[in-house]
Amino acid sequence: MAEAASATPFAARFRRAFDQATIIVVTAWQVGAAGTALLAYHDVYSSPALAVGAWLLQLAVIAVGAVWLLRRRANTVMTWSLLAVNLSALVVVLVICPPQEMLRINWTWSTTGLIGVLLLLHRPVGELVFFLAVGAGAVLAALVVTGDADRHDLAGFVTLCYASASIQFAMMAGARVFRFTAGVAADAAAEQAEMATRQAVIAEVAAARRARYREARRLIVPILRGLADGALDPADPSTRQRCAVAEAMLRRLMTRQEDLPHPLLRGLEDGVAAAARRGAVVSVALVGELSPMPAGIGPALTELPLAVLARTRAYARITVVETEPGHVSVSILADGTAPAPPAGSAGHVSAERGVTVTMDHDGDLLWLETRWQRP
Amino acid sequence: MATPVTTAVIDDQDVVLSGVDTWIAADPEQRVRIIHRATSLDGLEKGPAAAADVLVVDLRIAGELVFDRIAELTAAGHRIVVFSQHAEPDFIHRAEMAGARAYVTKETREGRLHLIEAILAVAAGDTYTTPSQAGAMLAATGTGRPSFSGQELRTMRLWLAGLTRAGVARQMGISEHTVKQYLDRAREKYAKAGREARTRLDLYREARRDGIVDGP
Repeated sequence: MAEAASATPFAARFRRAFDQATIIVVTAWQVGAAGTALLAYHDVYSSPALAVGAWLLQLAVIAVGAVWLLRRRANTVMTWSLLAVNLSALVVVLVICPPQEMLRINWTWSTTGLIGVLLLLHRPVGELVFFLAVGAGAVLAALVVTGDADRHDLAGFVTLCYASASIQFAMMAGARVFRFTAGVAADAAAEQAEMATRQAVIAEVAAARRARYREARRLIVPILRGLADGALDPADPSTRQRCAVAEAMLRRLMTRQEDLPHPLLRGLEDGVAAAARRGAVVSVALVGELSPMPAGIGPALTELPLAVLARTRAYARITVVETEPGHVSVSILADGTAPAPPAGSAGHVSAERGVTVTMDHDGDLLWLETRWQRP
Repeated sequence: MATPVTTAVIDDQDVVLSGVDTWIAADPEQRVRIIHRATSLDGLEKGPAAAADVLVVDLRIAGELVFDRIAELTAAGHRIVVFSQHAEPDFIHRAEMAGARAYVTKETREGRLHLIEAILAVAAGDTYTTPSQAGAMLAATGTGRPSFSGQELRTMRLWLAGLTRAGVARQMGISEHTVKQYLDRAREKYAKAGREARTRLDLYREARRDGIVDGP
């Protein structure tokens, strides 16, 4: 998705540039070359008015074709209708041309071809071949009908065919090259964007890791220093509690498998860290692989355990189990007090999402379990 | 419980030996007596350790994993309780395959609550399943996975969560004795599946060697 989005500007700009160039070339030829020829030979035509009319008609076709090209708004029917109009201009001038001067002053032949290129620029090249063939065929027919088909004229005809066709096909080839280059540029841009994203992710993951290590050191260094100096007495229960808290944190750090754990585990992380900072020993056990779950189920499962965790003073053990795909349970055994049941019964809020809650008192510890099953 | 159970503790860290000492000394009924402490497994067959009812052994001694030594000691008739900092399921599984009767992790509470119970159970010829072992059994996957019954699964989950036997019994509406039975049954299935998987692997290897089966 992101690739397509970043590809559009490049591809569009490249293509637009070439389209604009084509329009300029064709218009310049129509006005410059054809217009000059029109002015120079206007009294040679049997009907100067029709000659001018044909010229203006082609100018109009260029204008419409240009708009369609830039707005990319032409389908097959529209394009070929315009090509028919274009061809009619050629036929008109063929008719009004005096027989001998056909090849010399019939500017419509080359302009018809160029306008054909303009209209067929991004369509299969076979269509242009067909159109040019039709145009050439019309000219040839006119030569034959007026009795001008002698060797010289045919030679001239062939030469002109070749000259104009080579320019026109060169323009088509140019269009193709530009389309290809646009694609290559777009791919390169997409790749750059992806690399930048990946680097950003790596940087963030590394920063998160460093933050975790800093937190661990903050907790552990004072203990070690105190024990080394003799300031902390290992026989003192509060020292032992601090050591236990630090040990639990190290264990959590070491058993942490991934930098981006499952959303459910991430939801528990903050609560666990807060409890550890308060001086509680928190052990977390994960059994099985957590599969992706619908949005909202993770928070529904961890809501009550986190509430218990918030009230934990000295010890909590959290167990997350998914041995069967789709069956998840989160349980907490802690010395905290039971959370006040949310609006209604303890299971009310969670029951909407299909989460069941069980509670028990085991000795002086509270046990709470939330379970969910994929329907 | 007239005569205390004798045990030898082997761990390459002095502080662990002191800690186990403290726990056992703190038992009000004094059910266990340590007759030998050592930081290595050498010379265990001679000396006082040979007469101990139970050996408590660390998995990593002098930096090396000692599963094969455990297997040797088991074959020689010793009853072994593993006491290790490793809680990963495959360590627990390998210890089981090597013949350890119980596996206690050096995690908060598990050692303090379960080590003495494990020593006593193993001395009596029983197996003992700690919450860590329950976790390893639940985590078993792949072809070697045993098929536990629903009751066995629930028992293991509650045990893993840290409930006492009484708590598990109350939650499930059964007696504490039944809880132990479920855990024992699960343990048997687990050990059997592990042995079968290993046997199958050996058979496959031999078949490969004899050319009966083509390799990948």
